[in-house]
Parts: sequence; C-alpha cells; structure tokens
Amino acid sequence: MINMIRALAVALIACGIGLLVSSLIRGYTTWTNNESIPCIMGKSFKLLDGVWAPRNIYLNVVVERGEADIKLYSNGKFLREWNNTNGFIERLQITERGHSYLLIKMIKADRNCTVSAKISFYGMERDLLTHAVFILIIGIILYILSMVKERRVALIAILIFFVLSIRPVYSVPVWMKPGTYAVYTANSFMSIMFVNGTIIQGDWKSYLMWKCINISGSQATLLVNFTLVNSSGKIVLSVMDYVRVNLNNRKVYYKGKEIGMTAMFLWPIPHKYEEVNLTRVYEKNIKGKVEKTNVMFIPGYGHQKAVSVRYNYTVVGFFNNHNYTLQGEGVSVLYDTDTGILLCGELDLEPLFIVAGVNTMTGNHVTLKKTNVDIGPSDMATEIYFLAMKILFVAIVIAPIVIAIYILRRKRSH
Amino acid sequence: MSKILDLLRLEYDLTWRYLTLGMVYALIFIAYTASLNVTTGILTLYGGSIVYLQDVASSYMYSFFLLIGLSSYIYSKSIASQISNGLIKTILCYPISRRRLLITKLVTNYLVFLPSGILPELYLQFLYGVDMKVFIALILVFAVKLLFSSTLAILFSVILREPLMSLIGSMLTLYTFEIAPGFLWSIHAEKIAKMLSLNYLIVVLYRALSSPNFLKTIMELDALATVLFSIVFPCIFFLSSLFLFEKMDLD
Repeated sequence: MINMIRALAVALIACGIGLLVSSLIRGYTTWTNNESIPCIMGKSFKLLDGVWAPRNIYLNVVVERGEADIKLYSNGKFLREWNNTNGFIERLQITERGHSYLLIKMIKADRNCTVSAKISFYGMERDLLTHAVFILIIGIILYILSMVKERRVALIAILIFFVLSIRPVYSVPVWMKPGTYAVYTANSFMSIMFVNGTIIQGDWKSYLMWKCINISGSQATLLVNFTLVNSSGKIVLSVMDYVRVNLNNRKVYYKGKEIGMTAMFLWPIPHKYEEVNLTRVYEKNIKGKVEKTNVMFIPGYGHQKAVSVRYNYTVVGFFNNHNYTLQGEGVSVLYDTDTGILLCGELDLEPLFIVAGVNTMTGNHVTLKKTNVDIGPSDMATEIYFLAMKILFVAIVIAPIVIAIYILRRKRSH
Repeated sequence: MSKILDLLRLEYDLTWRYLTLGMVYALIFIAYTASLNVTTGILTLYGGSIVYLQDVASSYMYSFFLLIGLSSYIYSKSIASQISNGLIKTILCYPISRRRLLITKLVTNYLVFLPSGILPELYLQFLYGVDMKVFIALILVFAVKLLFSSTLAILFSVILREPLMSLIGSMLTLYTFEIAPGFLWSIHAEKIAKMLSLNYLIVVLYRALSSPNFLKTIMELDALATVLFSIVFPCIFFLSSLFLFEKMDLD
C-alpha cells in the first residue's frame, strides 16, 4: 500500500515536472495563423473562431476596400472593440483558455472587399503552469505522507494546515489595509464643474485625502477629505465623508448608491498597450490606454517607475448661464508599477470628488504628497544617472577654474 | 491470487526504481504535451477533433520514439539482465513455471508503462475537452504500440540474453518498424506502408468509433491489415519468446 502511494506520488511529481518543462518548451514556440474572408455589406461573421490558448497575441487585421466594426470575444466575454476601422495591429493578452473569436460587421464594403486576420501566439500558457504547480504540490504531499511514520497524524496536520490557510480570495490591492492613506495636492488654473452642471474657473489649490477605515471582504470604507483653497489662501470648500469602495472592481458607493469607479489606483497593474476602464463618474465612463513606463520623481519617494495611462473626455456644463464644454485631450495619469497607486497626473474625473459635489476638475494636475503605502525603493538606475549628471555638471563648471588656477600657479612659480 | 500479486510486486521491485518510474513518466509527458503544436494557438471548434487528432498523429512520433527506447531498456533490465546474472534461477525456485514468470514480467511492466501514456492524454482531454472518441482511439493505439514494443523487446532479451545487446537489438528493430512506413510511402508502396503504420491507426480507429458500424468502417478504410498486424505480430513475438524461454538452458 505504502509502495503504491509512493509510486503514485512519484508519477504525479514526474507528470508535474513534465508539464512544467513542456509549458516552457511550448512557451518558446510561436503559433501563427492567417485567415482571409470575402465580406458583404451589413453582414456579421466570425474570424479565428476556436479555442484560444491563454498566451500573448499579436493581432493584425486588414479590411481591404471597406470599413468594419470589429469586436473580440474571449471565453464568452467581450474583450475589445474597434469601430469604423479598416485595420489595426494590437498586442493583447488572453488570460483564460476558451472559445474566442473576432466578430466582424461590415459598415462600408466594396464588391471585392475582404477581411484578413493574422494572429501570432507567443509566451507561456498560464494554465499549464498553474496545473503543473498544483500536480507537483499534490505529488510532494503524497510522497511526504508515504515517508512519514505517523501517517495519520501527518494527514490530519496537512488537512488542518489547508483548512486554516483557506481564506476567501479576492483580487484586491495587497497594500490596502485599515489605516492606509494617501494625500494629493494640485495647484493650478482649473475649471470646476459641480454636480448640478455649474462651472467656475480660477486659480485653485486642491487637497484630496483618503484613508482606509475598515475592510470587510472586498469592501473598503474610505474616509475622504476634499478641500479647495482659492488664490488668496481662503478655504472655499472643505468636505469630509465616508465612501465604500469595492476593491475587486474599484466601484465607489456613496450614501448607498453607486457613483462610479475610482481612478485612485489600478489593480491588477495594467500592462503596456492594454486598454483599461480608467474611471467612471455616474454614467460617464472613461477608458484609458496604457502608453509607456516612465520614471517619475516623487518628492519624498525618489524616482519611481510608473505606467502612463492616457485618456480623453468631454463634459458639458453651464458657465455664466451658457453651455460650456470641458474637455481633456490626451491627458494622462501615472500609476506606480509596484502597487498600482496613483502617483501624479491630471485627475479630472473622479467619483471621490462627488462627496464635495464636484463632478469634473479640468486641469487638476495632482501629485502624491504623502502616503504610508510602500511604493518601493527609488529606481537606482535613474538615481545613478542623475548623480552622474550632477557630477558631470559640477566637473564641467569647476574644471576650467581648476585648470586656470593651475596654469596661473605654474606661471608664478616660473 | 496472493502468489500472483507477490510475483507482480517482486517484478516491480526488481525492475522499477522510483527514479526510473519518475523519469519514464516525466519524459513521456514532456514528449507528448510539448509536441502538440495546434493547442499552442487556436484549436478550431468545427472539425477540431480531426485537426487535433491529425496533430496528435503527427506529433505522436516523438512519444513513440521515446517509448521504444524506454521499453527496450526496461525489458532488457527485467529479462536479459536477470538471465545473464543468474537472478532468474533464484526467482524460478519460488517455485513458479517459466511460462508464468514471463507472463508476469510482461503484465507487470506493461501495467506500469500504460499510465505513462494515459496520464498526458487524460490531462489534455481535461484541458481541451475534445471528443471522447479521440481519447479512446489514442489510448487504444498507445496500448497496441506498447504491446508491440514490449513483446519485441522480450523476444530480443530472450534470444540475446545480454542486457546491452538486447537493448540495442530491440531498439534498432523497433526504430526500423517506426520509420519503415515513411520510407515505404516515399517509394509509393502505400499499401504496405499503411499496414505497418500504427499512427495511421489513430485516425482509422477514431473514424470507426464515430461510425455506426465499427468493422465495416475499418474495412472501408483499408485498415484491416493494420489492425491484424498490430494484434497478430505481438502474439507471434510473445509465443516465440515463451517457446524459447521454456527450452532455454539457463546454466
């Protein structure tokens, strides 16, 4: 019996190692496919229909002699869409193995219109890795059980360990704990639109502070303080209130009603070129695109690596009893790559402003002033680069003086 | 019954070590899953089973090449090595007839080997959920291939009685059988190639399992000779081994 358990354990460990190695081998192979199909105006059809492996994909779609609305569905979920397009090139990540396809609807089409799609899969298959680790763990536990003399005690100990270690799992920011806080400031010319649509303009200084009071499951209660100071230093507006935030999906609830989705953090941290639902205030949904990774200097925290998310928005309100449009074109916000917390950027639409009755703040360039979230050490490469630049600058300034003094002293001695 | 179980256990303890067992399972798992190209991208839904099957049939080669080497090693260790070092005489003192001993060796090693092919197949079935008939066809072909290589390896071990020689002999013969269909296709001897190709049997079995009349489909696909070849030849190999082993002078 013991030998059989041990043999089973060895077989499981072997299969786990085998799966791990084969997932590495498979990760190095790039799988490419081309599909081309003639299309008819107004008709919808599917391309690249099948079970997609959970890997990174490079998608190149060309609509020849026409325009189409293209949607990507992955594992039954809507993933991306491209409207009125005649082609695009995108890099995406498929997270789950499942039935996926491109749904194409022709808007404009010539007689000889065709849609062709080239897709390349590259990188590791995530599910294989997870399964390999799982099989390995089971194999190792079985092997330990077959080795230990007091098998029954060991089995009970393992079971107790698993029962105790099982916790409800939420995809929530790991750093969000009761007591966590962040303070942001902005000082610039702003147009502020209130919830009722009234717009005021001027030089303002804004303070936004949130502090996590309590966490229950994936729901966090935040205390929000929003203060607005005018150019003469007088506090115009200062409100403090509680909101609830669902840490799974960043939805914000105020006085029992959902008011939007916060942009104070992004979790999980988005990848480059990924499109994210950045923020939402009531029904106004803002999507952003992750453009690049920057290194930002944050006073007190040094040089931090950050992902830049660019977005556009337009809102209409009333200024001096006339319709007035506030818009942001290509504005960006930057998030820490370790924690996903907002570091700086133009935070114009944010549901936390609602506690103060503010809907939009155009030109609200915020900077992280203070936080107890560990956003990681300063980026050493950038630190060294700046130090080297400083030394070089000092050397360039001092060198002529030193050389001049040296020449003068030599002349005097002669 | 307990005597048979004791013999099976003895054979397992003498031939298999945990490291050997782990190596065999891990290598076959790697060869099997790493070579399946179609599953690294898009597996089409319509006719996906056939696409998957064709991909498996073409990539099965790697697992079979490995299986040939591993089975040759195991049987040369189990039979030729025990004959050459005289251990088999001690086992025969149990007492047990020579015929029963050889059958026990075949059954034990076959049963330990078989899950090494079933496990990766079972995993891929869980992952892709392809047609169950694909799974059955693949398992049947793996079982037939394993039986073919096992009986041939036993025959070589009994004839040559020396572990290294029997390992080399059975490996070379099995590789010849494996590459022969490809060579025969290239010289347009398709009929003989089909008969010798056990990989072709994967598609044949799947089609036969999918159709209402199993035997009729096999006949229609000209695969009866392949099926007979895969059953008759292992029987011949094993009966010859039994005959030789019974007549053999172990001193």
